[in-house]
Amino acid sequence: MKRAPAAGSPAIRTRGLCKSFGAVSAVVDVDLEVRPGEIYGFLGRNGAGKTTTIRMLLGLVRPTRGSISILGSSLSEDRRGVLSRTGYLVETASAYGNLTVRENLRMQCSLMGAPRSAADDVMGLLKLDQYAGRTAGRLSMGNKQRLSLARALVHSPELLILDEPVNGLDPAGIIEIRGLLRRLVDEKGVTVFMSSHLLAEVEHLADRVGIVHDGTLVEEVDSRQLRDSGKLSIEVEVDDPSRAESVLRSRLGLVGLSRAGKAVLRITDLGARPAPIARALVEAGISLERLVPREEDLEQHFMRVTGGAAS
Amino acid sequence: MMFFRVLKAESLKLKRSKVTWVTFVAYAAMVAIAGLFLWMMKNPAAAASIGLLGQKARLAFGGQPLDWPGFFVFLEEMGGLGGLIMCSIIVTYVFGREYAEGTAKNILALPAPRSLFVLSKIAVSAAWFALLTLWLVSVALLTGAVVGLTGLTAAIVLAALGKLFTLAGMSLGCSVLVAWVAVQTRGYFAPLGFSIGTLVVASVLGHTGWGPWVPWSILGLYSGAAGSGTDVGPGSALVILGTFLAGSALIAWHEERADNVQ
Repeated sequence: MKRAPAAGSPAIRTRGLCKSFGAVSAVVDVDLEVRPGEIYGFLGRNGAGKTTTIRMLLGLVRPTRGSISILGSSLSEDRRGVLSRTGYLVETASAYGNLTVRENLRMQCSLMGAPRSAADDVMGLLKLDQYAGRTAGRLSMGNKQRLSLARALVHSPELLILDEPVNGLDPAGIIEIRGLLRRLVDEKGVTVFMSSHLLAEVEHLADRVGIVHDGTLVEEVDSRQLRDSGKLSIEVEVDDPSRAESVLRSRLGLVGLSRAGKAVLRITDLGARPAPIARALVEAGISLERLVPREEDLEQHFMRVTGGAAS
Repeated sequence: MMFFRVLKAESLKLKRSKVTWVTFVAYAAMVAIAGLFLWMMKNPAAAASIGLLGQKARLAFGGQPLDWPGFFVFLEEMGGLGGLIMCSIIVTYVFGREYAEGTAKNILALPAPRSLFVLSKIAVSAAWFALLTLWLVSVALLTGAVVGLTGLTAAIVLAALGKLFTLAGMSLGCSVLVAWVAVQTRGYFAPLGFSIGTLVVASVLGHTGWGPWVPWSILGLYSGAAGSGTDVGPGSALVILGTFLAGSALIAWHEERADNVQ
């Protein structure tokens, strides 16, 4: 059965969310909006503010300022109600090492008010049956991660907040979890908010991507739009890149020009098109050796908006 | 009832933990050593023949008569500050393990009042320590019988139980502050350091006029380990109770309000 928050309300909505630790601003004015039934990828470098944001969404860290609404309810006013409908995995996989996989999950069932049989169901879902009687302390890192994901699912949550959900999984495990999350969204209407620093993972899975950098949400991108827009970067190899840059700025009004090599200029301006660029350079008497339009993928997009060098 | 679910979860964690069983072995060893001292004093020639010095044992036994009441008084003295150390280890483990094993974040994001977790952890610590105290008396009865003590009466056993359980309650009252240090510092080392510090405070202030007003010294005075002659009255009981309430409130406040950035 598909479930969703109150009609019209986003699954997660933050307004002006800020968190400072002393003089350090970890999260700055983040306005998030995650739609019901989507997979939202929260992308950022290490230390960008992803985990702090997730901790605030789960009430583990108190915001310095701003508001959080989850599944239509204010987190500060109805923390317990919100958390009873949310499954979560925070940062590292953790379980009680001296309890078996089954005991860990049954304990979670009891604490979440789910039936005991739910433990067996999620063990099947995450292929943990064969480890049911093994203590969690003796599991591999990948299976610990599966156990943490199983723990998040025992009460059939409407919203999953997952911090690096595929950490420690092998390639087959990553594909399997990807399939599981997609099925939960498509078949049960679950909303998934997942953070990751694995660009390929987010690109494969997320419907929308929020890019966080230095604590600020710098961009929200629709993954399909990113794929379909054919957003281009154009690389030109010329004999005089400084003059070429000046010509392109003055004649075509382009911005987003950067050096990508000794004689190579990269143009990431949204309005850049190959033909006018070639014409302008030739008319200015610049020797054009090569012009290569490149479609921008999420990795390049991420590197560009976070100020890193594009690959 | 959420509280009982949380309590059940906490009990299962302890049941499966090796630390729990190690504490029972440690208490049994403590009583066995006391029993050995008793045997050495009762049988000095036999002890000397196997290289054990009865004189040393007598020194350790502190001049108690070699009978059941004397044996229990010795255990009470050992169980005073020894019990405080054991109780500190217990609460450090119960509270600190959630941070050391990275599971605190899982607990704190559950849809339940966090004070329930604090309360249930204090409850299982109390139950664990109460069982240890019963275990101590049981092993003591067995050890005393093996050593050949005679004249045991129900009144002697009840008096020992009463005093040892009072000491256990006082130890728990003092140790809640250790638990607070464990959640504040998110681990094991600082609370254990703190509890060693409290023992130093207890032994220094126990010999001053402030002893009856310092929680950790009160234990030493009441158990007799810090010598006799100092009254431990209702005022001291209030100090212990106040320490317990303040410690519990500090933990609850921390879990409810502090950022969990583990």
